[in-house]
Amino acid sequence: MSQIPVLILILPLLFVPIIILMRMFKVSYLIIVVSSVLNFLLITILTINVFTNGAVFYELGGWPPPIGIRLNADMLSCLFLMLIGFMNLVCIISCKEIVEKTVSSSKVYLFYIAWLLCNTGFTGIILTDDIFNMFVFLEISSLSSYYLISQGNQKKSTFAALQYLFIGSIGAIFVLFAIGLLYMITGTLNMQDLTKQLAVVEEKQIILFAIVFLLAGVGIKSALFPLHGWLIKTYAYSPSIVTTYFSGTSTKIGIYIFFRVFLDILNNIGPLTLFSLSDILIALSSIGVVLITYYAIKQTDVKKMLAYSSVGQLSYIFIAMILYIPDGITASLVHVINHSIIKTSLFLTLTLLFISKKEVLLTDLAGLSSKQPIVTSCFLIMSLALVGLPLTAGFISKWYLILSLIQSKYWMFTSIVVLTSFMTLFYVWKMIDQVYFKENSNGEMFELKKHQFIPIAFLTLLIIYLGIETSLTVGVSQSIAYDIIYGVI
Amino acid sequence: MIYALNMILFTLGLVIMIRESNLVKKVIGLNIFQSSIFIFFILLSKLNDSLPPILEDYNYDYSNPLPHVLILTAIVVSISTTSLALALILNIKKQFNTIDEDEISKDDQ
Repeated sequence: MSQIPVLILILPLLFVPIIILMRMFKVSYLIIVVSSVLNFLLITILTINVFTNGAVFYELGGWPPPIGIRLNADMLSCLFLMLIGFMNLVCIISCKEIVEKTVSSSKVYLFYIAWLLCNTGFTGIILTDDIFNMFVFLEISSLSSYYLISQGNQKKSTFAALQYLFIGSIGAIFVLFAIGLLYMITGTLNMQDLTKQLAVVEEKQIILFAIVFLLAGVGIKSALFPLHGWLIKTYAYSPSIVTTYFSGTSTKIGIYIFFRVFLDILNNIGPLTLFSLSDILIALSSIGVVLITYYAIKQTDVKKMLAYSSVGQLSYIFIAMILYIPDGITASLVHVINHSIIKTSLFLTLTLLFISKKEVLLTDLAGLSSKQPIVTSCFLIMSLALVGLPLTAGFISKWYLILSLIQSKYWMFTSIVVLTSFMTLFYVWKMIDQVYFKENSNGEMFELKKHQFIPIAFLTLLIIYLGIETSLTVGVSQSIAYDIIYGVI
Repeated sequence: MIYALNMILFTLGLVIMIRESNLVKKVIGLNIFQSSIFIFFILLSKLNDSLPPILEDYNYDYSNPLPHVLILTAIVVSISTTSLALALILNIKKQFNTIDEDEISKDDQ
């Protein structure tokens, strides 16, 4: 049982050379499906085990923690592992036709290799217990994601990938610098050990310095408000299946790093009221939400609109996290899960509807309801979940977010969250208006086949299920939240 | 003192990356920026009058080998980033016939 964490990491890395040797795109798709299914099975077994028997550790090379690298699978990591594994599986299963249409057939196997490496990087970040190792996995996933983005079929895809490479590298180097500073004052790279050592460190200024760089670095990765520019471009220009995959995983990994490293350190600089860093961050994110939602309303490109919406939702997650009360952390974790599912399903529907189209404008959606009535109703449910209507998954997380803001007595931010939720309704309405009430003028057909409908329907049912039966997500998130705040993790 | 010089390198790299519109120059800026962090890590490990960490019979002050190993990994990461960036720039050159950022952005409108 204790071998499973390392198996999750090593199996995909074993499949990579096999794909390179085979080089045939049909076989490579088969291999990546096998790999994803295996990955998801292992994660499920691990998660069940962790939730019944407690955390699982694996010491690489048999070296115990402060010296060696340890893989750590506790409840927080398992939650994110499940999320990443599930999103990966959904995207892989539904991506075959899309990849064949967007990527030239001689390069398909390279595309799958990059995908596999990217997913391995994400799981590595989640599993590892060593901050330098985290940086390495961060770079593995980033480098392969630059390649994935550059494979888009638009003219500016390569340029968008390069721009993301520049800003992503700056972010990674900031993280590395912060790791260096933390190592300088504590002499350790292990996360648990680091937390213990930081509690007794005298030089609070250096910790603050490290925090600022960590915040900037991880903020770039998770597209926090002032650092979100790359996200819009990459979501708009990358292959649409990659956008689908990244919308559920890439930015959530940044949030995970915040949970794992940043919260601990932030609370170790003693009183949070030092100059109230958290208040500044909350205020900044709130301004961000308002501005971003406004930009989202103005967009005519659906992908860009949803990208802006992602940034706004990430700000909600960040605000809830930085409140640092049990309900806030719960809200943030639940919103990570729900938003991933909602956004992935929205992007997936768009991707499957417009497989060979380069950009999807709002007017392209016109007349969808008469052509594809069932998909349209799924799309409607997803969009309403994005707004946060009751009986959908989006409502639960918004509810907890507002509850925690009221508990912390941030009245102004509470009203901002409520206001922006109504603003969300505007841009969602713009889509629904096109879908239901506009006639299709250019007479284009939507290219959706019968079997592609299955993942969409499944995700829609999941959204409704998570909106009604909340004991699963909220229960788990609550116990993790108590663990985080009362210092078990 | 060396730390201050290193910080100058750090700022220099960042400024080059932001100011220059030529993509290759941006990659050079990125490299300078990364190198400054590498030097920072190496500086961490150095003690005054310390020797290289080689196992000998007698006791002496030796510099901390761990940051060196970390930086070896980081250098590999940096090399792959650079090569990927250059490969992307080659593709951009083919598509847009220029490697100037401003001209590519102009091409959009």
